[in-house]
Amino acid sequence: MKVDTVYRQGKLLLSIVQSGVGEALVHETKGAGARGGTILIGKGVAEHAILHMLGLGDAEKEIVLTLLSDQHVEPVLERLTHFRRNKRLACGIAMLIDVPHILAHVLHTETDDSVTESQTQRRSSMDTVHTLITCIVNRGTTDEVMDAARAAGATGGTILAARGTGKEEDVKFFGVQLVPEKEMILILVGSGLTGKVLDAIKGVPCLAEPGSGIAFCIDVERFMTLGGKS
Amino acid sequence: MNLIRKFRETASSVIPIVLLVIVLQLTIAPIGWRSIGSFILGAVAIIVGLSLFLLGTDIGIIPVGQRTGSALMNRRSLPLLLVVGFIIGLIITIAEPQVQVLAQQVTTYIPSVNRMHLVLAISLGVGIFVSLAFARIVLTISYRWIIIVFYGIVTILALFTDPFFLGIAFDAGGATTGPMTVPFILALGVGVAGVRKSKKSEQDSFGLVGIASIGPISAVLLMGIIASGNDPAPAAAEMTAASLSFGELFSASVNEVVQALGPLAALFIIFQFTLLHQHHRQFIRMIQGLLYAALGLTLFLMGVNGAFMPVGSQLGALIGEGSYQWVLIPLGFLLGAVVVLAEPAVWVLTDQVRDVSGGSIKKSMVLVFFSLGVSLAVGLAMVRVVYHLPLIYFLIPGYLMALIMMFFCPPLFTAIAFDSGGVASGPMSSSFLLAFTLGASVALGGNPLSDAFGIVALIAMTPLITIQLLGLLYRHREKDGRKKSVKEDKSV
Repeated sequence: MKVDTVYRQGKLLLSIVQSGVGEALVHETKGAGARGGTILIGKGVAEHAILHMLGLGDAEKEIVLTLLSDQHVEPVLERLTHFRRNKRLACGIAMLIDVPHILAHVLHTETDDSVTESQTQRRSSMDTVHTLITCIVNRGTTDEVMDAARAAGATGGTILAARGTGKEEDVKFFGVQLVPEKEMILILVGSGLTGKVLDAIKGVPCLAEPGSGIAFCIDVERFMTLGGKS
Repeated sequence: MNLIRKFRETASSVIPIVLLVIVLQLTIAPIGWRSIGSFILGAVAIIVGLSLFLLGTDIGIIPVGQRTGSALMNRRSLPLLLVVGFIIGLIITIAEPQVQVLAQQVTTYIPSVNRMHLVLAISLGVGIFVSLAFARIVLTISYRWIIIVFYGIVTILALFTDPFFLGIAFDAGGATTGPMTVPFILALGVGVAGVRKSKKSEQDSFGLVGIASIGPISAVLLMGIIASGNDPAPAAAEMTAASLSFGELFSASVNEVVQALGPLAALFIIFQFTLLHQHHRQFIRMIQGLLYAALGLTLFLMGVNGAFMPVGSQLGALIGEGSYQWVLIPLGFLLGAVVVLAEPAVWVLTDQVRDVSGGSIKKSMVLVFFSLGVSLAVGLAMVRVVYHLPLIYFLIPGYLMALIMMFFCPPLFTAIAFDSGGVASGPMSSSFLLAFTLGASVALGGNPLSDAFGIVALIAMTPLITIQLLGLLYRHREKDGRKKSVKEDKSV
């Protein structure tokens, strides 16, 4: 038996849920065919202005990344429409992002169709309704980004702690490299707002100064709220 | 929203204590429904206070601590790091209300000890050891060896010290790390370790509290050697369980909080203008956080001192006098398990553990092993009260076990474990549990001075063992997991 390493086309399911729900979500997607999932810890930023002002707005979140091959997308999404932790309240959101290449290990005998498929057509009908804006900035400056985004109409965001990888020329202290601490903020907006929000955050100092931050956006194919009233 | 979440967490950890006390009221220790009423009121104050306090540390103390740590590291100056570490340790300890209480207690029993000297010795101890802990991280000296060397020194000092000082010394180790200082020191460690690109940065994030609490232990032991020859006055331990009026209680709690918070706030403001230069939004956040923490801690202390402490000593006395004295021991195990979950710093530490490990170490697992540890501690404390056993019989095997476990346990868990000693012994154990133990000891006709004190020392010790046990379990599971995944890969 020979195992081949190939790239396939597929989807990334990115879900942002309340803290503690991530594992249940992974379990659910596994039941519908997903191979696994990766859980990251993040912090939700309030949508409510008054709560935010009082410092009460933050919420612990978990971000779940699930890679799905095309045939599993529908069953997994179907399963998630019934996923709920609480009768009334929504417990998170999920979005589907197109991914052209996913590393996969397949038995030699199976490869024939999958390899060729990934190299051929990619669905071009991108009538997306949502965009995921991602900014990576120095730690502590996400507040400014979020303020600008909120002013332009974005509702909320999710912050993940991160750090830069450090370059060879980076500073050393007693033989150990010091790496810059970063934060990554994910903001989901309706496509109509994308341009407006991107323009707004462009002016924030932590993104306007060269070398201090990056921003990019990804089209979201589908978006759904998890749990809550059906 | 985080406040609601925290409220749920703290409520679910305080309600079991209330239920336990109600069960006792109905069975063997009828303390009266009036007391139960005030106890429930106190519990509500504790739940609300604890939630607010945790929220405040989340948005104020922890971020500033982390930023300070990483800003210090980024300055790349070892002398600066050491000096600032020393100053932080010194200033936050000198004002810590628990240190003042401890010094008060010591000077009541041994008038020859100067109170100011003792406070200064403890604070210098913390300062030196915080700066030492920083030096260790930068110079990449193994945590294990630092612990071995300094506990070795502590053991030698202990051999020459009056046994009476031994209890106080280890109590001091637990007591000095109060609810305001622990979150800040914890965050400082995470900040310092976080900017270093090193495989060890995860394990270096913890252990600062553990090293810092060696300071007061050795300081008090040294004082003990110097003051030896003066036999401690055999004064009976009096725990002021007198019912305070609401006004007195309020002003006492506010006083305590202002005392602990003042220096911290002053440090924060100095750091803001010298080191951090935070954006005005973050500065406002920091102030908000400090205010929430202060308000929360005031409520919490009012609940603990006004309701839990008197009920604790009443319960202890009633059961100690009653015909079911043996009940004290299982009850100790039970009380320890539930009370630790109402300890503020425990929640702060478990949150940090979850964040630093990226969620791979479950918060609930750490809490369970905290519970196990303190359950063991309070159970053993009750054994001591009932059978009048010396503290040293428990401390030596306990610490020996913790030190041996270090060589088998993953270093991350060792560092967390040594932090958890200082974390578990907060205001709940030094008031409610201590009052309970004192009450029982007096009722049993023992010597509360030698039998009851030392419970804080036990609470600061047992988590070292249980959290490292958790580390061993994790390592075991990881190995199993790796074997399994290798097998799966082969089978595919």
